[in-house]
Parts: sequence; structure tokens; C-alpha cells
Amino acid sequence: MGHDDAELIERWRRGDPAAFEALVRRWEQPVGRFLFRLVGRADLAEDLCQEAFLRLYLAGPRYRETGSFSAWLYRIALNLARDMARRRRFEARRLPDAEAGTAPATESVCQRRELTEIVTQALAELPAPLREVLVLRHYEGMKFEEIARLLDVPASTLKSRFATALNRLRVRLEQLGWSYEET
Amino acid sequence: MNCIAARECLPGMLYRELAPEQQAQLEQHLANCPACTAEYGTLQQLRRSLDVTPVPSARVDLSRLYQQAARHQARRLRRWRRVAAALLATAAALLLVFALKLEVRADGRQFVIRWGAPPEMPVSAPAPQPTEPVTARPVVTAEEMQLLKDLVHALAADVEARDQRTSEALARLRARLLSDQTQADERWQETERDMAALYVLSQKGGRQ
Repeated sequence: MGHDDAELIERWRRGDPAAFEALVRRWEQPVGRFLFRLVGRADLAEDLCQEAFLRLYLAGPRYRETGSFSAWLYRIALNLARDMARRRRFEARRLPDAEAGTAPATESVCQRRELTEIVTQALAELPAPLREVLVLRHYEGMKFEEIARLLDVPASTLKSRFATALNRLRVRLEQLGWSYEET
Repeated sequence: MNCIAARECLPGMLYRELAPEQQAQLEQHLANCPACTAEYGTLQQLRRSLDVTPVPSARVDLSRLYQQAARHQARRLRRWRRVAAALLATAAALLLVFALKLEVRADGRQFVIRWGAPPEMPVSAPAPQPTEPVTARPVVTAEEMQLLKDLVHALAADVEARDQRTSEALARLRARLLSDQTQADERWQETERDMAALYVLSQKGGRQ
């Protein structure tokens, strides 16, 4: 946790509402981004982000300073995303595969579909444990040891999951018409 | 390093997290293996593709958050009141039951604990003459009664303290909301003044 976070938390716990607002403004973008990558939908991510900071507000007095505020906040967000997935049985709408036998390189299906759409789609279709490690490692830039502490899973398992996630993602993107030349 | 080991290390190389020695071995393998080099190229493209997805910006609505927090606190307060009322009712019921039913007394050299009324003697049997005067049996001792009273008072005091704390938290939230509202009103009034000034200026400019 950055030094400023510790200071802000201390001020907030002493009753300064501006300190809480500063914490929210500092972390709303990273947490919102993280949630969007996990759930794949902007509206759901926004709701979950609001809920995450509400939980932070309500749980604030119980927070014990251990130097891992960001891990605590990410853990709240992660649990919310998992709860939502369980409640809604969130399944991303599956796009049809690209037609077999079509030449992908020049007249690629990617030219007809937005690359961003198929990447988002392929990410959303990954199983949750693989998506979580991919998002935390690739998008949040966390080290495997940090992810291990956050998810309570051994780092070696996470490395293996990460390699599997990359492979599955590549296979699915190829099915959806992704070609290496375009990116 | 063979191809199987190299493929396992490729994600590590992609994210620059291999040990220097491992990195050197892998680079040496890639220099002589077109298949693994192609695989690494694909992974690099994949990594770039992951970064093309746009991310919508997130904005937490603090006014809504404070309102949600106030509702949550109010719900918790109601729940606590219900629990406290149930506890008090249970304590009162137990007190009543104990006072009416349980009999504890020291009778000569015996210590008697009895639940309910004593069994009735058969009518036909001759009633024994009391040899000594009947003494009043203490149903519940004064000490026990005092203990129960203290317990009930302690529960009531605890509920009162929780009520007080939650009320203070709610008052703080209300004050915060009111302050936000006032600031918003002031901003709106400033905007209206600015608009009026702009309008007057534009009218003057039109006449000239």
C-alpha cells in the first residue's frame, strides 16, 4: 500500500470524509477496470464498483492496517464478481465460430468483426479461474506471488493456469477469426 | 533445452520474468528452432491483441454511496432492535418461569431443588400433625433476583449504547448529504448567475 493510502485511511477513520473521497477517486479506475475485465460488461462492472466502495465504507472501521490496502480492496471486488457470477450464472453470449476453410489472412473475418469485440468475447468465455489469473497478471501487472496471496492459490498453480489461459485464448481467438497479421 | 521445456517457458519470456540463466537457454533454443520461434511470435501478437480492448471509465457516485450506507445502517439498527427485543422477552419469560416453577430451599440438613408444585398427599392417609411451624419457602432468593435484574439492565444498556452509536453514524451521514446538497445548490445558483450575465452581455453586443 502506498504511504498516501495509509494516511488517507487514518484520516478517514478519524472522521474526515474528504479522505474517504480521495481514496475512492484514487482507486475507482483500477477497481472498475479490473471488474470490467472480470465480468465483461460495462454496466455490471459499474454496479459492482459502486458496491465494492460501499462495502469498503461499511467495513472501514474494521480494517486493520497491514500494509495491503489494495489487496484488501481487490479481494472485495473479486468476491463481488464471483458472487455475481454465481447468482446470475453469468455466461457470455457465445459468438459463432468463423467458417472453416475461409482464408483468414487477407480477407479475414476480423475485418468484418471488430477485433476488440472478439477479444472481449474470448476473455469472457474463459473459465473464471483462468480469467482471474490472466486479468491480474496481464492487465493489473501483478506478480504471481502477489496473485497467490490475493487468491490463496500457490504461485506454481497460477503460472500453470496462466499458460493454459493464454493457450485457450489463442485457440478461441483463432476460431473467431483472429489472424496474427492484423494485430 | 528441448521444445517441450521451451514451450513451457515461453509465457515467462513473454512477460520478462525468467531467471537470466533460463532466459539465455531459451534464447539459444529459439535461435535454432523455427517452430518455437513461430510460437513465440504468435504469443507476442496475442499479448498485443489483449491490449486493444477499450475499458470504460468507472465513476463511483458518492452521494448514492452515502445514501446506500445510511439505508444499510438503518436496516442494521432495526435488526439489532428486533434481536434485543427478542432477548429481553426471552429473559422476562425465563424470569417468570423460574419465579413460578422452580423451588430451591435448604430444609434442615437437605438441599431441595423442585420443579413445579409438590405432589399432593393421598386423602385417605391421616394428615401428620405439624411438629414445628411452617416456614415460608423462598421461591427465588433475593440474590438471584438481583442477578437477573442486573442481567436485564445490562442487556438494555447494551442495546441503548448500540442505538446511540448507530444514531450518531446516521447523523454524520445526514450532515454529509446535506452539505453535498448545499454545495450543489450553490453551484447551480452560480451557474444561473453566469448564464444571466452572459445573456445580458450578448444582448448588449447585439444592440451595438
